[in-house]
Amino acid sequence: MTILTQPEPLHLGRAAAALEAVLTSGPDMGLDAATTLAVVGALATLDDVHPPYPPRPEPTHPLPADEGIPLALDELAHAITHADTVEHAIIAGLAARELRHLDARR
Amino acid sequence: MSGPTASDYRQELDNLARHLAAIAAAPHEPLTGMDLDAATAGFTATVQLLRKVHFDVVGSGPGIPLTLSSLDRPVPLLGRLLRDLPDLDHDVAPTDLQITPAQTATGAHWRVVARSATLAAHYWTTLPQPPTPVANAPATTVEVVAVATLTQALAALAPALADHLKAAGRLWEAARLRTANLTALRVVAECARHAVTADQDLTEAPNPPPPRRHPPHPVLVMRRAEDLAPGLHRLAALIETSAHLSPHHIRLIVRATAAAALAAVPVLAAAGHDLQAAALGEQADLLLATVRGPVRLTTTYRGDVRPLAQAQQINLYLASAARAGTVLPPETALAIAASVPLVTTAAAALTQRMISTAAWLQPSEAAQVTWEPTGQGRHVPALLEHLTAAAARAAQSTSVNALHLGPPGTGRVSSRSHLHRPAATAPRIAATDAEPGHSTSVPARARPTRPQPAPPVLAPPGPRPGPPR
Repeated sequence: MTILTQPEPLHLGRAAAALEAVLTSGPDMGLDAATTLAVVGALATLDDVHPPYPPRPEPTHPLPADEGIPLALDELAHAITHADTVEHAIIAGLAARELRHLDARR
Repeated sequence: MSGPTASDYRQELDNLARHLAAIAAAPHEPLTGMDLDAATAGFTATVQLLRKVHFDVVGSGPGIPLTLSSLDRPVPLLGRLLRDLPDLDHDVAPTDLQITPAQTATGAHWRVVARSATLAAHYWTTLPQPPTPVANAPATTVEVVAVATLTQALAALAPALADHLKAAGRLWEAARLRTANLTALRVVAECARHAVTADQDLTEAPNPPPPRRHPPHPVLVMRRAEDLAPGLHRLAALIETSAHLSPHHIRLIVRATAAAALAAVPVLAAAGHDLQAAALGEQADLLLATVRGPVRLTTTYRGDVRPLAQAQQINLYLASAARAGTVLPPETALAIAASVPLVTTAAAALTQRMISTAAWLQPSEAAQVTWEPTGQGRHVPALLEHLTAAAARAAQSTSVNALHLGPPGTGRVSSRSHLHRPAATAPRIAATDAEPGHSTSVPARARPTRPQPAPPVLAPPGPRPGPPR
């Protein structure tokens, strides 16, 4: 059985991979409750597409929040610049906004 | 000489989307003077473009009742909400706006938004026929997805714009924006985007879900802290009556539930309800573990959007309460402690059902780059493992909440809890979704909850659900 999917844009995929790696870290790497909620919000925004993207590889190692989140923001900025659809651009912007809220809380 | 083409329209629409997205992604910076005029001009030009395209593609449609039961028809409802959005005033000519240097990066982006939205509207109006379908999707689908997605962005940006207007003394425009059903707009736009894309035929998708059982409950609007517990009750009821939910929506629902629990825990502890605080704290930890774990699940169906809409109401209320420095009353925190287990249990049961009936997809064990249906013989997804653990703990929490009904300090609920005033040092609601620029480091003085403008599109928190089961 073939499940129809759509290709995940490169930079959106990289941003999501960085955020998933952040979620595999722990409190000792800066993953507190507020960060978890923000990262989950951003990831859910990125993943909420139809048809779905193909499965992403599982993260191989955790990323500290203070590395993974700036990396994700950088990739999302590239995703906006290179977006080929309105939907991909706005998804990237809204995901980044979830992460920016984290800055506003601190 | 030929007129504008569909390509011209699409180019401006893409440009508009990229710059709106850049504004959403940008760090907060104050907007004043001509930058603020550019923002109001850009906002209004975009709203006018979206109204026009929506009307031309969808039509005016039948009268849409002002209730979220209309979520079954989010696309026409979106048109109604777009028509209700205000056209913000700006006294600057478009040409003056474009030639005046921007003071901030956000101001520069808003100038491009204003220009692109105006040009896109012009191209759309003068096109001899609707734009060519993209990627084999019907033109109407492409256009409605674009309108819905851009509306999501506008709804997300509008609260910050209202703050800038208020800071600049433009109170009337700020109030018009604040009272423009922004939360409803955000939810409906998201639903419309999914409604349209889910209508696309994924011919090889497995197991079409059974016809939706329409839950009798509308989504409750969160206006006061006291609405949180009824909102959680309603969320549980909506999950229980849903035929199909997306795993991503389950994750967002669990996230909102965890945020509500995290907001209530310090209030319970400060009020002396130690047992409830400890039990709810454990619940919150398990819910956080659930959302933190890898999902690696997806679905090809949109499912029922009401639970997500209710979860977003909860999330948006918590965010606005955090901005306002609202203190949760202890009795509200207790009610939240009693409600969180209901949502947890309902979410776990639905997740179990989705997985066991192969309604969701998980990575193929043979080739990890493709999806295959969940079901018998497959490994249990982490989401279900975590949710099952949280549901087991929820059952114990329910016992704690049922057994300990006594005065604070003993872990029991006071029968005079309605007289309990929040202490001046009581913890405030933790920010979960704060808009940039809204510092959460507010003075420690307890402030009353600000009544929010009544959004007519969402159902008011009518009859309260019954007590926790």
